[in-house]
Amino acid sequence: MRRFVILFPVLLLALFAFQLTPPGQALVVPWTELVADTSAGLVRTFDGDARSMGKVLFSERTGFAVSIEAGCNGVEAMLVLLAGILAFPAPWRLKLIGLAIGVVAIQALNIVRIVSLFYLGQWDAKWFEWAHLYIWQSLIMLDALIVWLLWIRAVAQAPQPSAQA
Amino acid sequence: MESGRRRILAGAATALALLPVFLAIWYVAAIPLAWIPGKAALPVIRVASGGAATMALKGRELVYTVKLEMPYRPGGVPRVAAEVEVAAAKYTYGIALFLALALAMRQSRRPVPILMGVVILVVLPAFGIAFDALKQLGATRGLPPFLAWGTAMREAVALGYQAGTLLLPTLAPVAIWLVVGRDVWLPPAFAGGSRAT
Repeated sequence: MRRFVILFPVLLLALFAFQLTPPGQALVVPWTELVADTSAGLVRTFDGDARSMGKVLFSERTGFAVSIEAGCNGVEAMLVLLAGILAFPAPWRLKLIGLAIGVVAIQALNIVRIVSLFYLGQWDAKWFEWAHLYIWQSLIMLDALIVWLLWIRAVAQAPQPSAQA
Repeated sequence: MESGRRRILAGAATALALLPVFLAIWYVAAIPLAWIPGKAALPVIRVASGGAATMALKGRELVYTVKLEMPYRPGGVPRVAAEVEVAAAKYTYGIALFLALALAMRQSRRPVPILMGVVILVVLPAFGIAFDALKQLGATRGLPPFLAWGTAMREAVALGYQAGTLLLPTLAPVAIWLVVGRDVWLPPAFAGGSRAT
């Protein structure tokens, strides 16, 4: 337990600081653009009126646009989950499985967040602000927490390898 | 489905149902809730800016007035005053998430730890509020010569602002809930510290 309590904040702070540096941004920016592109593709599937340009998702019909900034690309939640999984004592195979499932779970919900905000913003600015600033922020972190809780249950029940020194 | 997993999913579903209720209650209480971390942020703003700072509530915004001086020079002491507004609600809504989580699961429904968690979550947003105000001061035209921040200080303000905005508001309530409700998640083997990596 002590190891986790020390390791988790250290890892999280290191990962968080890294993603703000130029090499970190070299990963985050294309990722954010991919998120915008995927969101635009999903919206187009349903009503055909969305395009993305860089990290901006916009409607050609209404001119409404949302820019996917830090905090809206799911990166922070992924970093929290990454630090939580790396800091927790578990075999590497299970850590990698947890990370893969976690990334999918967080990003899938994040796409839902962006698409919902895209429509909400065209409907009502006040509700957009509420959902953007408070509701979705909480839901994405809740998503990461649930994945992590389920993962540590799975780790606890996994067959134990032979004891290591 | 395994009972532990079912318990976690049921707890998460209850937390999800409680979240809108607590967000609504938090929103009503958000103005008085902003005052405490707003005041707690003042000493940080004073020390980091090197000036005199005061705080006032304007609607839902915290308004900081910072007065700065440069050392004496012929012709007088250069003085400047700046006002920055911080939307405190962006930093305090984690209280609602914490209460929804804490009350969703029987194992974490413990009044004293919940109360302590709420107290921490009322004060902790001071971090984000202080760095938000400092970031705005650093970006105010004409102010940098008065602030005289070096590169390290500017980087620290940027990192503090990012962490205070993007991480703390949602991570802090979850982390505090993990302490309050550790019986929910802590596997017995892990609690005993006997697992090998």
